[in-house]
Parts: sequence; structure tokens; C-alpha cells
Amino acid sequence: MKHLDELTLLALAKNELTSVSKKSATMHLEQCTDCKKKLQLIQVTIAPQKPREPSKDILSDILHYHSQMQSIKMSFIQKMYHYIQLHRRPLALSLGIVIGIAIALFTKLPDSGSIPHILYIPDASRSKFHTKTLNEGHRIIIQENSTAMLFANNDIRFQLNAGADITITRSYFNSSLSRKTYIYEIYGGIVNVKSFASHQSMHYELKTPDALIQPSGTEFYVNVSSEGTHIYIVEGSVILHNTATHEAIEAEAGKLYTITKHNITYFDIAKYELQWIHDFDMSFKDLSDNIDFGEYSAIHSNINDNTGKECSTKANLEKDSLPFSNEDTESLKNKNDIKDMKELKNEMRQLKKESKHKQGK
Amino acid sequence: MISREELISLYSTYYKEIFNYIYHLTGSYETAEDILHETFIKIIEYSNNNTINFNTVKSFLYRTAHNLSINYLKKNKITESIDEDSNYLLVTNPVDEDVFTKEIKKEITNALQTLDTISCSIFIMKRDNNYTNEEIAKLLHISERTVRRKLQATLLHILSHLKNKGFDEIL
Repeated sequence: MKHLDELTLLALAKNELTSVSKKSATMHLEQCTDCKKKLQLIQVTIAPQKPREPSKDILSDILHYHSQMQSIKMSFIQKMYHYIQLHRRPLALSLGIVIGIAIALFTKLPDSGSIPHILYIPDASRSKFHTKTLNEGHRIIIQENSTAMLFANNDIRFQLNAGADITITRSYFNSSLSRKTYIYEIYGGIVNVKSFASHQSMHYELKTPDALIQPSGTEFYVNVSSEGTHIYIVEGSVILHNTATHEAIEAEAGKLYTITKHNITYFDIAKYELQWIHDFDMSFKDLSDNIDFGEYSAIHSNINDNTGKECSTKANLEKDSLPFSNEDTESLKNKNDIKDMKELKNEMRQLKKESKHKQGK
Repeated sequence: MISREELISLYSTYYKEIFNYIYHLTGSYETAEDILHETFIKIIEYSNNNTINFNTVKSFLYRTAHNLSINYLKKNKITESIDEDSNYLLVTNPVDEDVFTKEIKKEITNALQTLDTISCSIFIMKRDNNYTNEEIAKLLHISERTVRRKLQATLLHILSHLKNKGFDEIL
């Protein structure tokens, strides 16, 4: 009698045999005790064991590892997206707060802006003027046989002689500080500078190739040439910095200062002993006598309200020398505030008288 | 890369049978936990550069678990018996349940420990997961004939071991 093999017994124990094979195997088992015992042993052996459960921490560990891998794998945008998805609510809250703060700040932002300048160019008769409105970045080069007057708001006046080369580097008003700032660069020529506004409400400085001039006085002459920068102070004082040697001094009225790449020198001198100042004043003699800005007055202009609010004027000149043609003339038609105009005229006359008086001496 | 949701779904589907497979193969609860963890880490790493085929992922999990278990067994040369609290379901006499269960469990474990890992794996898959020979062959990447041959040899070995220990007389 052939015994059943282990696989058949296993299949029988697991109820995997076909009905024919099962019948045949069962018939054999009824007659064979060896196979019967073997089947019992196999049944015991293959009895499934009670399943066990692993710790629940394993899944969290696996997920932690997964998130770490994801963060390494993800691109910046994906990371951002993932982060936003994970932290939607706190991010929305933070964004709301930031927007709120931004709106609050925006509504209280200081009203700052560029302060325009007006350039007056006398015509051939020197009794009428053409005007130009200039802003930050504009450069003015005065041609031969020509003069001009540049007004920074009604704070500073520049008399520009032939050959003067000046750039308006900075010109802005900070309303939160109620302070105006002007910075100019003079590359050549002779310029007479006179300030009308208080230095508490205004800061201005002039840069030349050799010097940095920080005026705290009211009037001075600057002569920039290849030899250096000459400054004659008429009234008040000026802080002078030698840009090459970093030497700084407080320049006094009645003295001529020369700043070169090597040093700053000075000596006492009467104003009209300096030929270049004499010549300069003479070239403005006619203007001083007949000065009448009329409808082009900077003082009358609505851009001259001391705040610089009207900074977006139409002039958009290139940063080149100005072709002083009549076509470029702009009309500034506000005719209010005649008082200021008169004050300016008076000052100009006084200046003229002073110069005549000193000449007489 | 496999998504978090896919990973959770995969774990929920297979963690029990893979864990029990490892547990009965290694005989240690803690080791089975470690290897289960390592198995799923491997699948995350694999998914970094490859696309997971969810039709064959079960095979991947079993093969990984199997290889990790073999490595563990080779390194540790297991000599201890299976954990004491491991229970068998099929018990003939309720009165002698504990004594009989413990004894037969111990002897089957002893018998299995003297076998190669493939034979052990086949036996455990057959016993605990009710896989067919074809399924085991696919999962372990071996031929069905090898499964049959190994299974028969394993049964013979265990039966012979149990006979030697007198269990055929008890039954």
C-alpha cells in the first residue's frame, strides 16, 4: 500500500485537494494509521498562529522619515506650497496682520518729493527772461556770453556765469522732518550762491572736484577751475572739506580759500580785489538793475510752496547741457503772492548797492 | 515619490502579515518591529527614484522583509526560541492547552531553526498567510517547483523532529 506524501496530506489539511483526490485520500486514511497520524501532526504543525500587532509608533516613525525625505526631495516652490498647505491658517492670519500694518503705514507715509528748480535765462535785451523747470539729475552748462539764474524753490539762488557747469544731484523735501535737502555738483565756472531760507529747515551742499562745501552762511562765490576750487565768502561761514586730503575747516567771511588736491590755503582779501568776482558781478550788473521775472517768477509759481509737493512738473530734460532756445520756454502763470517777489527784488537791489558801495571805496 | 496617503494605505494593508512573517522568521518581536520599519523605509527610498507599481508592491515588501530577516539571522545566529507569549490557535485538548501548545511550539521552532531561511519563509507563508504555492513563488521570486520541494522537505523535517520527540504518540 502506497502511503500519502506530505504535500498531499498538507493539501488535505488545508482543504486544497480536488473532490476526487480528497475522496481517494480519505479512503486511504481510513485504512492507514501511519498516514492518519502524519496528517494529525501536519494539522498541528500548520495551525495558523495568533497574529501579533507591531507597535503603533512604527507608522509614525515611517511617516516622519517620509516627510524628511519629501522635504529634501521637494523643490523650493514645492516646499513653499507644502508649507502653505500645512500652515494655511496661521499664514492667513499673519498675512492679514502684515497687510493691516502696511495699510496703516501707507496712510501715514511722509509726503516726500523732489523740489523743482527754475532756471531764468535773460534774452538779448537782458530785460526779459525765458524759464526752464528743472529737477533732480539735470545738468546746466552756461554757454559763452551768457548768464543765468537758478532758483532752488525760494531757498537758494545761484548766479551762473558763462562757462558754469552745475548739476542738481539731489533736491527733495522730507515732510516728516520738514526739511529740504539740496546737493549740487559744480564741475567748472564761477557761481555766486546765496541762500534765503533758514539752515534749520534746509541742508545743502556743493561738490567740486576738489572740495565739499557745506554752507551755513548766506552768500559766497565759487570758482572751479583746473587749478582748484576758490571760495570767497561774503557773509556767514562755510564748512570746507578737501576731498583729497580729507582736511576740513570752517571758512569765514572776507577770506578767499583755495582748495587743491594737496591742501586748503586762505588769505584775507577785499571782495573786489579779486578780479574774477568783479568781472562776475559786472556781468550781472544789468540784470540786477532791471531784474523783473514777471509772470515767470519762481516765487509766484505753484511749485514754490516750500513743500515740493508739485514735484511732477512737465519738464523732462536730458542730463545734458541745455540749449537755451526760446521754444523751450515754459510759462508759470500763477500771479499770486506778490510780496515775495518784491522781497526778492529788494534783495537784489541791496546786493547791487553793496557792490557799488564797495567799488566806490 | 510615494505620497503620504499612499504610504499610509500601503502600511495599513500589509503591516500585519509582513510583521507576522518577520516575527515568525526571526522569532523576536523587537527585531520584527525593526525590520518592518526598515522594510517601509526601503520602499520610501525606492520610490524616490522609481515609480511604485501597486500590483507588485506586495512582492517587493515580502522580498525586502525576507532579505532583511536573512541578514539579521546571519548576523545574530539565532539560538533562542520564539517569544514565550506566542500562541498557536489549533489546540485539541483545552485542559492541556497550555502545556501542549508550549511544547509543540517549542519543538516546531527548534525544527525550523535548523532549516534554511527560504524553507522557513515558505513554511511561514503557507502556515500563517494561507498563500498558494504559486503566490509564494511569486513573492519570493523562486519557481513553484522549488516551493513544492522545499515545503515537502520542511514538512518531512518537522514531522520527523516531532516524531523523534514523541508527539505522534500523544496525538
